[in-house]
Amino acid sequence: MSDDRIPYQELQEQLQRAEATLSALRRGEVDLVIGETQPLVVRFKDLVEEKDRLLQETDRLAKEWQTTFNSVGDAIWILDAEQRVLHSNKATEHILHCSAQEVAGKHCWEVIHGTTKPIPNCPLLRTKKSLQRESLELQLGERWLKVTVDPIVDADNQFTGAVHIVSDITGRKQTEAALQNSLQEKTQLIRELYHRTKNNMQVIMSMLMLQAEFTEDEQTRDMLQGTNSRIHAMALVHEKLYQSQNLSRINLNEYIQDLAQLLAQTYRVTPNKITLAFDLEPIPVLIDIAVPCGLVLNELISNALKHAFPHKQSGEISIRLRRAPDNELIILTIADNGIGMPRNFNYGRSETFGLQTIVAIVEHQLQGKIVFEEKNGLTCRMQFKDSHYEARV
Amino acid sequence: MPKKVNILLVEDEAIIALLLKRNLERAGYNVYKPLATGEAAVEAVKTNDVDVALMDIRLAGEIDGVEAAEKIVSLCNTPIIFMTGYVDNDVRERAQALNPVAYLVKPVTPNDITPVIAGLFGEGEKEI
Amino acid sequence: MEANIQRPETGSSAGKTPFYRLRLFVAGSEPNSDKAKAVLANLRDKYLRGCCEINVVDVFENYQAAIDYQIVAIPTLIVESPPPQKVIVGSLSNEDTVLDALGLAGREVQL
Repeated sequence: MSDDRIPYQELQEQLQRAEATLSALRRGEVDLVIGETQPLVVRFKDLVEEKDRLLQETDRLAKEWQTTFNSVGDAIWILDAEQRVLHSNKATEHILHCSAQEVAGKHCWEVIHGTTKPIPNCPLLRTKKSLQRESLELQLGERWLKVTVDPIVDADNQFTGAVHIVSDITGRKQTEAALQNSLQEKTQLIRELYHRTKNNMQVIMSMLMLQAEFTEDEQTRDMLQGTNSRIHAMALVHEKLYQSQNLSRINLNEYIQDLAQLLAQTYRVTPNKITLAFDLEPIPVLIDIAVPCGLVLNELISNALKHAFPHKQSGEISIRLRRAPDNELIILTIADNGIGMPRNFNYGRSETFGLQTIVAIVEHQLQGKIVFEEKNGLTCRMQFKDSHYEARV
Repeated sequence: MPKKVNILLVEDEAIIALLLKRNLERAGYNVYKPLATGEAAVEAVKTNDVDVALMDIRLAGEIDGVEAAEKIVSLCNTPIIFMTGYVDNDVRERAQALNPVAYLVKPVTPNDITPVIAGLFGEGEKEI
Repeated sequence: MEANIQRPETGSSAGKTPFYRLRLFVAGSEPNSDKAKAVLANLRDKYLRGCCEINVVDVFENYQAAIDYQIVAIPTLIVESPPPQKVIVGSLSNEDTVLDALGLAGREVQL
């Protein structure tokens, strides 16, 4: 022991003073700390205020967060790196029927699926790998749940936990199913309607054909046959609509091809004699365009089949369908390399029923233009817009 | 000696049935009184000599044309020609499973049918 | 350094009260220092009227004094007499601690 040792009493006092100082520091009751060997002055005021402010702010944020956490209607869990539940909110009880205590420390699959291992396609494991939001919709008895998992990563982008949200989407699923049902019902109804319309047209056609059989007059028979053919062209539109996916549009190109082949069959064309050449761009159109278009084509193709190649002459009927580059107009060209029309025939003033209907349909109904040209046979060119009708189905 | 081909026509639309019957008869075939239901068709093949059945698919009565055709094929192995407005894949598949002579999509005209039957038996008559 | 000396008045009921010599170290008008000054002034008016000498040392003006008295934190109150010497660190917000150090715990308020 040396002589300069501090007496016990003084040591005790210094200790008490140090403790008192530390205690005052902790309480924030100190403005300055004074260094012993050099005048070291530290201002505490700002620090203390900042600490108080931060404490208050932290407290406020914690309350705000807790309230938000608990007022959300979805079950939210914060999971640790081992995928165990750290915190769960109030909605957990409502959605998964288990209390916060029951959930705490458990793996999510134990709570939701009652399994000892994650389920296949588990969104949590996917999130752990992808470090992105992953989700899964699953059925639990009568209910549908949607699980969404967002990763929590540290500064080194390592997975340290996750936010695991379970939403009850039973209502949405039910609405979706109901909507789907209602849509299916309507689709079924519309198809049934097209079917019945077509069926009725077949009955009308059969009636006309029966009538034709009971009549001796050649001209009347021709007339009935002509009407029959026109109705057939319309019935074909309904068949195409019945088959079409969206029930409102048919592919004009497919329709034209079917109609031309049907007419060739009707007029008993020998396949090698008159050939049909198609150059058709796929163009979906509404019934409002398809029906008048079909009626016009019916007249033009029938006419060519009946009159362009007399005396078993062979030849070609070519049909071309294009949408103009400006997208506005549909251009349809029907050309044959037959004998052309009789001399002095004026299309504009024609009195024949067929031609009159063609001009009326194109100019009046389709608001388009039609021109006839004679050059190595007869060419008919028409153009019309398809933008003046809107889908109604 | 040649015998007329006997056709069973099953079609619930009277006008269509009438027209087809007339045209087939004119082409030289024997057509039984058209029937409107599948049930009647199944009964008819039990008591009549039917060489080919011309079947609509959508019919009056409980069973449809495909179901009636299934029974007819299992009873007498009668050749079937379907004519229908149906182009549904499932109906078509059920019909195709019976290996029909033809599957004609309506509107069906006499012109469509006569070549099919002629291809099967010749013009109106068949050799026994 | 400011000195605030109050001598006991004749006829006072505080005749048995010892004489207090207090030294309060403050730092300008920092909040804890201001608080300590206010608390001490209040205590003086309540209990020590006429029997105390209070020295308030502002270390911004007299830093050396703080070193001489081995002061570590500001504010600090040193009760120099009556002995033994006592030291209270902080803004004197806990009145009981201060009264205890002054030996005034349980004493009636001086009227």
